[in-house]
Amino acid sequence: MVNKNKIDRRCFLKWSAALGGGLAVSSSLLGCMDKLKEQGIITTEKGFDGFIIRAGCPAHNCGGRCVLKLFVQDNKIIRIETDDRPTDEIDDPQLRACVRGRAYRRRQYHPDRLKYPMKRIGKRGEGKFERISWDEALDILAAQIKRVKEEYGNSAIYIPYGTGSYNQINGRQTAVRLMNLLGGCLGYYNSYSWACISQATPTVFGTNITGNQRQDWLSSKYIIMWGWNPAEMRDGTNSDFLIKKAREKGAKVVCIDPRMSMSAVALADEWIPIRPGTDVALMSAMAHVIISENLHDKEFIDKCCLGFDHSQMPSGMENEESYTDYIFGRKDDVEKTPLWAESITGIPRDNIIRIAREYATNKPSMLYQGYGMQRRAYGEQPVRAGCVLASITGNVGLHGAWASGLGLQAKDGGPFWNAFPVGGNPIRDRIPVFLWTEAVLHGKDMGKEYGVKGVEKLDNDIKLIWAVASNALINQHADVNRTAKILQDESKVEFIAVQDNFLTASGRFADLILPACTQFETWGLEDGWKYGDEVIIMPQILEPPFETKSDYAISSELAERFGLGDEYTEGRTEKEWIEWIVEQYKRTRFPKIPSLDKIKEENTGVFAHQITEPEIAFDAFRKNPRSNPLPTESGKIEIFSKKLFELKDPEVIPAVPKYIQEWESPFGKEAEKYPLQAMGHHYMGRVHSTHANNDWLSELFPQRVFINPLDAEKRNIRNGEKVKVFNDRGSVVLPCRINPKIMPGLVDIPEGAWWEPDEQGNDVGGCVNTLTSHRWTPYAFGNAQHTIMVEIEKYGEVS
Amino acid sequence: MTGSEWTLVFFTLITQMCVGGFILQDIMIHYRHHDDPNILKVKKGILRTLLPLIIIAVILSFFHLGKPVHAIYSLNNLQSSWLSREIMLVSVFAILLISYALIFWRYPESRSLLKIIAILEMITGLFLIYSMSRIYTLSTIPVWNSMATPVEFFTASFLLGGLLLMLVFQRRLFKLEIRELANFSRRISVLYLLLIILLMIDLGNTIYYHYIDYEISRMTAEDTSYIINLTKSILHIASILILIPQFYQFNIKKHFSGVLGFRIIFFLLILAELIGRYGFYASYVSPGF
Amino acid sequence: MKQYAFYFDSNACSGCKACEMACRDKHDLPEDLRWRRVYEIAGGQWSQDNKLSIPELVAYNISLSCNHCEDPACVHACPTSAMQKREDGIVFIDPEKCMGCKYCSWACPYDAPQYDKRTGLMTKCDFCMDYIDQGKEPSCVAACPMRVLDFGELHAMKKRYPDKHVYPLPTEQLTKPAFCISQHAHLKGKENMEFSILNKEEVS
Repeated sequence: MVNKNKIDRRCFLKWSAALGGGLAVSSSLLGCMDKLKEQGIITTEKGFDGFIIRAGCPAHNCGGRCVLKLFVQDNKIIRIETDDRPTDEIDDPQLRACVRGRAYRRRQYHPDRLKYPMKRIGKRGEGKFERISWDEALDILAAQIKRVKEEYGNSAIYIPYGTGSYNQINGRQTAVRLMNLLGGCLGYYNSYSWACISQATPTVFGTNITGNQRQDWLSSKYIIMWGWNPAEMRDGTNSDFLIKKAREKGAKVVCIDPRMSMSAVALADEWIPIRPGTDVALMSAMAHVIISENLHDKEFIDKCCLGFDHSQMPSGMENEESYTDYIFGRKDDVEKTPLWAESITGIPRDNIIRIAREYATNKPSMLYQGYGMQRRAYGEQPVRAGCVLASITGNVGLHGAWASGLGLQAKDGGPFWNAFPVGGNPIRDRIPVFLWTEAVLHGKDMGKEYGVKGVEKLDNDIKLIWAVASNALINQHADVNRTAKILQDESKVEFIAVQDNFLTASGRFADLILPACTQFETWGLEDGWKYGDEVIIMPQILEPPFETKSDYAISSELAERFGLGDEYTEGRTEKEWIEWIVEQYKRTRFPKIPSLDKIKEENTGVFAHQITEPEIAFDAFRKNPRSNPLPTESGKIEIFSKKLFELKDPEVIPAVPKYIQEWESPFGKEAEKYPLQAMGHHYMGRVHSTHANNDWLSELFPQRVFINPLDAEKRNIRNGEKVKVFNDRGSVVLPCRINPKIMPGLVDIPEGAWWEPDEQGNDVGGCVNTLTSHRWTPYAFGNAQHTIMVEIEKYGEVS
Repeated sequence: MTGSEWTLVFFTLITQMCVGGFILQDIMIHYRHHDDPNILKVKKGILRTLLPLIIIAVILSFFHLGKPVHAIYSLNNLQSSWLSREIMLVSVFAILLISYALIFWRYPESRSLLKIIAILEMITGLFLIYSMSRIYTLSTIPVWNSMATPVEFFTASFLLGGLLLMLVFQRRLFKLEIRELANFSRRISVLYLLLIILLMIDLGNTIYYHYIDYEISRMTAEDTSYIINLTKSILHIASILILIPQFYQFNIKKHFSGVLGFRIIFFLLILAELIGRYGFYASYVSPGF
Repeated sequence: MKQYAFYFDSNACSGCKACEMACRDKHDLPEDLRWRRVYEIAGGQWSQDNKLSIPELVAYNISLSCNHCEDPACVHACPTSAMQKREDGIVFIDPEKCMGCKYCSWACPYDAPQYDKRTGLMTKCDFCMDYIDQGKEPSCVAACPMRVLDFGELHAMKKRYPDKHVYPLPTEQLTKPAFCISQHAHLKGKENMEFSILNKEEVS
């Protein structure tokens, strides 16, 4: 039999070596474990002579919030398992970690961890740095903040979007809290994930809380996973598992996706490939079938909707185009028939008719919209059209139904995103998050037409960036080559500080690097992502190695340099903040939550509600729409939006949802030069760009260009061969994988790989944003990164 | 194929050559000729060649082990492991060969003892070749799991062994006054003609396996091995074809034209066997790959 | 005799490889050792008809480790008896006896035994027998987010899950694997399609 202790010892030695030998087992380290032991957080288990502690998986921006069972020996995590609570029932299923969490040791003990503060020595973007002390680093950042405040004002300072660390008292919000104490900074709204859907859903329903609690999926008879891929992107721990359970209870599941995603393989009865960017054409044709075959829920529409047909138009707009006018082509002379949609979507008309009938007749049915289709040109339209389909079939406010849209969880919108109080921002200027490069280039010109909120025009261009746990500075923002050029110009952004665990593609553009510790090295807590009724604690398990500090510690020390130390910390340590947050939870979403100490004692890592009677969104409204109106202007479901109508830009912001040909489309002139559409799906081996350098994950999920055999054959491309994917914005060079599970006419470069330009400027890291466009959507000012056309060609020999 | 597999290939080939060589010399050179000093010289020459070869082979076999010290356990599973049996038999074969050589040198007159050892050695050798082939005839690797494997191994043993003897004899062969050696050469040529038949069977087998439906082996068949095996068979046959005029000249015309021909053939056969073994390993594909 | 076996439901396996990673993490396996592998399988093709591209595809995943066969070819082949079968059917390697001859890896049709070039020994899935002995589940089974992996007694499970093995698994006659599967429903009637492994790179 294998001598386990021997292996553990070997592993420990290996990890010591991996950390460059820089981490001796010091008394302070032993202290951390002893403290945990004293607090009773850790238990032991037969056959293992270290300690076991259950904690939240470090929260990045995946949809999962899971529990890890950590085996700690000699102050090293030597094994990672997952939630092992004895019961695993539908009302409170185990929060089993995915492959990313299970591979976490390779991130935690990665030799490339940032070890000490550094300042730039080469040109910006060159990635050359030299080690400095923390004192010097914090002095530099404090002095730069002071200088920019004085020279330009607080609104020239920007803390960009960043989701690398997401656990209440870590990550971006620690910096925001400090900036708010210092007089504020330029704010933003929207996200890279949900820009269009979070703006467009309320145009129909007045709210983003459109989702039933997930256990309710088991009451559904028919589920359309429309561009929704919970199996790969982890849209909530157990979402995929719950769909499996719904299917076992008899629901038919259809997956509409350009890729035969793992959700299509593992969760669906049927896969319907659709040409990207044509979702509204399919939705409109489905509406055509449903209405012309009289399958719509007339009673519900009469009672609850506005703008369905001309009898339902708001007063004064009776002659404007209603939804049925659009569907039957009464104004534009184009009837949105299945035949019309067939040529646009690539889906045979019979299939369109069939799924329309199935969706409308197998009630309660769900049309679950994924978020990929709204990160496209006119991304507002599929969101609204999806909500309309749900509404005209009466799938709103019912058990087993789904109203579409953003789908935040009823009744309260689900988990808190920030329980850590960041304070109010004294600066009122807010930009759409996707337009920050515009605010660097010409912020002072930006007003309403750029989606600026709070002020007429921005007071400043962005002059100082302090990125915390953010790789959106380069990698995850669109059009990397353009962004790189903008950031390289030191006259524009005068100072860039990047605070992270690794030197990411964004970090290379920093003037100052601040090494942050990982989640295992500080306290944290999380309470679900979009769904879930659980609180997962994340005790500090290890001391921060080398010279790393927690985000909270970095901001506290910086606050001291401004004489705001006490105001910043309010006298609380990280753990005390977590205790404080648990108290907040007790007063709000989790009245039954025990104290932090009690949760720790139990060492399950998690406090969970059982959900036996899932909440239903809009159930009160459905029962009595008059006394429970929606928070829309009319109080009804606005199929026709007066608000959008009044923007008077009907070509791109129509008042009823319409199919609009994308600005880069296989039907446009651009397709002559770049005939293939490109997409970048969420890869199983990464959480956006987090874990991109995790060798265990990239070995199981290598970064490849996925291409259909038909497209490969046309270009004489062999499997495994290096290919170049390119358009006018840039080029990516990667090995390809010929894969029939992606539809013809489309290439797929999974998003999140780190940008790595070679000497010719080809990105050999495989960052899909090398190819994406920074053009934003008309209404939400959201990112349309998925709307891109490319060409692909052989680059070299088989790798 | 990794480096350690190559050591295995050389081990196998050399062992086969030794077994074939020993058996052929013993069968074809009668003990009654042992009084002839020329014959004695020839026999000593043979043993001087076989002895280091078998020692090299045994040493080589260790290079393919990840943990050679654990080889002490290698006889633990004689009841079911053909590898275990092979290791036992190769050890016995080597020990008997060494004993035979020592006795031959020290006490060349104890013929009956030598005879007994030789018989034991021949039986051991035959079982050794058989167990070697059984190592490869695994039901889980259908491309290997046929009569072709033992046929190939026995063929290789006698082809290589016979040629090895011809090379050892070469200097003395053209002194035709040793009648026994001439007879020996004649016997070898007959053997080679017989081997041709076996080689044809092997070729047929290669082609047959390429065209049958691998119902049982959809996880293990691969096309490249076909080309390699075909190449091997062609080389085999080519070498025999070169050999035929040599034998004709030698046996019928009683004219010895030199050793170059034998050397070329020996080289070709070794090459064919190496290619063949490469193909053999290339045809092994683990599940689904 | 008791015989432990794995069960795998191909219907809802999302190919997430949490099982494989759990295995790697638990046993501290370097990258070239894969005691559990997840095969991404697809068969069929796209037909182009009247400007429309129509897929006729079947896709599924198979998570495969050592099958702890009832008739284990590796145990028969092993010259040193380092490869052993326990009373409960678990097949494991005694590192104190293994001489690294790799013969077991030839004998196995599933490529389960793998050579560790660092130690010179063969390695393979041991059903997490240390966990089994403690009354716990094997690491891969406990990891599965879709709950499609399970383990139990072979003959009882075979009654519940009698499906025949599918591509790329060889016929069960060879070694009598202790591995029950549920075939993907999409495979019904399409068993004769030509299938291939899409992620060869990750499983070789």
